[in-house]
Amino acid sequence: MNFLFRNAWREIKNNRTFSLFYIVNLALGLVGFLTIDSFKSSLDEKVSLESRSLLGADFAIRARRPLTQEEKEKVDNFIPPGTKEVKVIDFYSMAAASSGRSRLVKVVAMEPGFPFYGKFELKLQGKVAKSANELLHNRENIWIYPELRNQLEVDLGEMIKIGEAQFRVTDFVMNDTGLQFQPAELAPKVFISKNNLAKTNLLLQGNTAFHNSLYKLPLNSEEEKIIEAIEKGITTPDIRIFSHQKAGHRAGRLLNYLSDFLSLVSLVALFLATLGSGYLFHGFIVNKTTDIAILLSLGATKRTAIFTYVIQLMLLGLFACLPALVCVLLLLPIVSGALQGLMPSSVDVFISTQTIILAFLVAILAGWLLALPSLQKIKRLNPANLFREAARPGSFTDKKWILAIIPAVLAFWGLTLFQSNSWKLGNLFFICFLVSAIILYAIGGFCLRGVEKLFKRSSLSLRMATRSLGRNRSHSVTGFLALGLGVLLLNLIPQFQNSLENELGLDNPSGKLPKLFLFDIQEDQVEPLQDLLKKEGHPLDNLTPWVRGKLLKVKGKPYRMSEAKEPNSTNSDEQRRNRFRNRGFNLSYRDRLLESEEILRGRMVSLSFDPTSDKPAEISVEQKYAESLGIDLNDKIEIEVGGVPIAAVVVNIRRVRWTSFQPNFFVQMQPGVLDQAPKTFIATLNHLNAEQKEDSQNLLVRNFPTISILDVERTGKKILSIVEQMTWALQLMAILSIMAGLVILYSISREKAREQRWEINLLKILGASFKDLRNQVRIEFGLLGLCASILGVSLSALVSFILAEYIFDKVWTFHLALPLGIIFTVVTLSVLTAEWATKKVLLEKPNSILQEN
Amino acid sequence: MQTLLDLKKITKTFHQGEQRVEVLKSVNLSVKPGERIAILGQSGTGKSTLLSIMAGLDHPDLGTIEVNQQNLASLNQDELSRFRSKHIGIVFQQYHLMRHLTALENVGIPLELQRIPNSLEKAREALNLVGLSHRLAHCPAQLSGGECQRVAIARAMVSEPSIILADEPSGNLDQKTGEEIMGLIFRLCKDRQQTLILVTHNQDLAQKCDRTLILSEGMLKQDVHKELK
Repeated sequence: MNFLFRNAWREIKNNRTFSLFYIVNLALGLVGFLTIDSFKSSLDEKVSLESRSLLGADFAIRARRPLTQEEKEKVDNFIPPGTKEVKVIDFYSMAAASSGRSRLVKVVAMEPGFPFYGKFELKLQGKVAKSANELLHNRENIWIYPELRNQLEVDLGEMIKIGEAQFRVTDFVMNDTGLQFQPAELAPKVFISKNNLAKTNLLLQGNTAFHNSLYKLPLNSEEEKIIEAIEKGITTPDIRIFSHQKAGHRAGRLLNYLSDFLSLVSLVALFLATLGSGYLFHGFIVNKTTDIAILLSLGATKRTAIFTYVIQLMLLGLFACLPALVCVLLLLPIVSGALQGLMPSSVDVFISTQTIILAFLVAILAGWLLALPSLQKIKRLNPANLFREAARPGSFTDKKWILAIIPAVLAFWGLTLFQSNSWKLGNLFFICFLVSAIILYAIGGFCLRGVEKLFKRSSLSLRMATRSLGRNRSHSVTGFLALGLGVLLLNLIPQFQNSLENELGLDNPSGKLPKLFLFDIQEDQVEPLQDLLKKEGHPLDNLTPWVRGKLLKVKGKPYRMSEAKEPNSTNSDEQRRNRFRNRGFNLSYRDRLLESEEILRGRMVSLSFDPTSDKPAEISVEQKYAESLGIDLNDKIEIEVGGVPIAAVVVNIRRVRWTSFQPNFFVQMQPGVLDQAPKTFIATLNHLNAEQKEDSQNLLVRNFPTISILDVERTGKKILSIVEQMTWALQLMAILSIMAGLVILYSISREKAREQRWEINLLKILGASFKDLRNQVRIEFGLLGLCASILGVSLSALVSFILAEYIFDKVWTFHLALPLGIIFTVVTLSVLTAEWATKKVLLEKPNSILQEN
Repeated sequence: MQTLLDLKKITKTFHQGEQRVEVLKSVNLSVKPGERIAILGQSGTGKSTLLSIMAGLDHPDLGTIEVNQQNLASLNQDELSRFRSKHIGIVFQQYHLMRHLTALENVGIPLELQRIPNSLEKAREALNLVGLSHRLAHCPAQLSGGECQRVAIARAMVSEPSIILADEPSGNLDQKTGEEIMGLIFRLCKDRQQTLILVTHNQDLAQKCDRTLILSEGMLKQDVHKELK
């Protein structure tokens, strides 16, 4: 054992350049992987530790209506004596200041005692527990988010009008707690007392509001059992029961999805880095074959020789973790800061012991697995060749190396599943990655085969460069693959961002998007609203009824919420599926399709409905909603609207481009069925410039204070800023991949220069200048970078197109500037890297090699 | 006297494409302890193959080889390695030193493999014997050809094996250095009672050995001229 460690250490010490590059390369891959893993652990830790504060209670019941007496009694039966309850109502509404400005806000109307857990952090009063501010509950006061100060031009002591009531601003909420269901809110929050809610007159007029009952159980209560009993007792789909864990998961879900995805992208960087390390190690072993044969001839067993390198790799893996962990320590606060907006409150990031162990495990195992083909070489080494003058003991090629990489591929697959936290996403990513790698490898191999012939009659440097590319195909294809994958990643994410920006067209005044989106329009407001806006010269557009429905039966079977225990489910696939299934749904009716809709299968709903007939009502169902319910054409569902059950049959499956911000619904019913149902309306205002938009919004708030108005541009910008944050994080991982690719390129060029040292010096003896040889290197690696990045860009365009077409509502446009920039950068970096790597050999005096021989 | 090395009917065949080349045809050889044997032969006659079979680095297709009454065929790869480190020392024509190790480390390796304590101390003594006490910390690239071969000799002898296999040890050296090296090998083998099997083209060197064998057409024959002398 001693000998193994001593020899391994000797190998590290005596091959410092190899060791350094191996460590740097592996550390590069580990940085991204560990940063994201730490971020995920920190997020999980926050959610599990602070979930009670996020919800503000042990559990909550949330519905778009108050609970009926019967439902309340049921709940009371399940909760133990001593349980405390507090009620909070939240909804969107417009807030108007005396300055004349108005904004959409989220109103949180709370009873004294909210929240049970966590504290409000106010600018003037500091930390306030249980909103124990009597003034807020006894007077018409309001606490607001600080951004409203500028948006509404309102300050402390000034008044804000919500609905029909005026409130005095008494503090700014720096941090709030409780009812944090959303990763990010559409609008800033304002807090009032529930005692004052009636004065706004908003709920009386049917404003869509969530009624929350929050509960604090006595100590030592069997929380899970109580929640389970309530869930079983109240099966109505429009009532949702949130344990604090479930609320925590919801609050952190955007970041969870992002970090799942980021960790997959970071795996590419890790893969490339380990590929690079594997490549370096392979070169190292090839160089070492004679030494290993000597060792064997001196009496070492093959096991001893192999274990020397296994230990060497282990030590190098351990060393690679140290700089990686230091980088993670530096990078983590930056990543966390950049992703701040994706979580209701900030995440305190840290490196957990689990992450450190994972780092060591990955670094060591990745090194071992990628080294298998090289270690295989030692196994088949024949030391008897040492007696033969011309033969090199390890100079043989064998296709069996392909078998030796299978464990590494399987381990990578396992890691993608583990990191994505989703069987579906993990597999999809792995397959996409594998297919991309195979395509790059195959096309790379094909191109390199042809490149030599293509430049057969060119200048000497070009001819030599292409010959070198074509004849050292394994080196070239490895570099091609590494750079191509890096470019693919780097270009893929911004393509989405640009496509989305283009689709939203925020900088384009004549863009297709509506400017204002109006909701909570009551039936009796429709006519006067239309009249007012017509008079102003900005007629109401896309006026659409909004009806709340409850699913009773699907394909003849009573619809039940998912049996799966969502709160404890850590599987992302399950969480996504359940959320979609649990959601009560909105429906509407209209006699035409909007521009943003497309019928995929079936026919348009019939425009007339005979209420006396037995025929079920015809409905059109959105594609993804249909998938989640497991229904298709001609399937029957039963919906309850306003207490009346309605039998319906699916006559078409529709695709909706949600990014259009047009009033769209999961279910569209044929006209004539829901005319008498209780409903509100939504509508849009289009073609307004900034001034007209502000004026129209203020006018509407003055005349119709209960109508809520969403500024589409502001919302679009918010979405884009979230997308930008996500893109930034993803690009950071992609840049790590490119860096890993460049280290591979450095290793390849260094290795090639070392291998061709004799040839290079011979060329010098024959009259080649340093400039000629440098040009050859520049052309060779410039061509490699160019081909790899063009192919990477093309593949990323193809992948983004396919994903946009099938997953992201057909939002795809190609942007040339970014890929051109990437290609230019990658080619330049490839040339510089190769030049740096080969400089020593190129500058060498040719007689030095002659002296050696 | 007991036989130290016993080769019986050793046959080895190589395939070059479709062509079958029988390099060794039923070779027999018995070597006694302390004996010095020279093997002569033209290039490509199988001298190196014979040496690698004697070293247990290659297997014969037919025949048996015994070293110290131990049949090498009965040992598995690991046992064979351990046996070699203990009983056989090899000196190659191209020295075959480990490039990144110092002279001292190169010589210490066989001892370390046998887990012999104070390996560096013993390696230092061995290098002292070959006159390289002033070059301990030098790597092969910093040594001359003669010095490299001295290091290789020290390495072959350091674990005091009973047999030294030397494959043209002076083949890469100038005449003077070659003679010095050979003198060193002969002296050390004599002092330590070690058996030397020397593959060489050099008739003069062969003359200094107890027996000279000629490998020709796959067969090992006694040197008739030397016998007559």
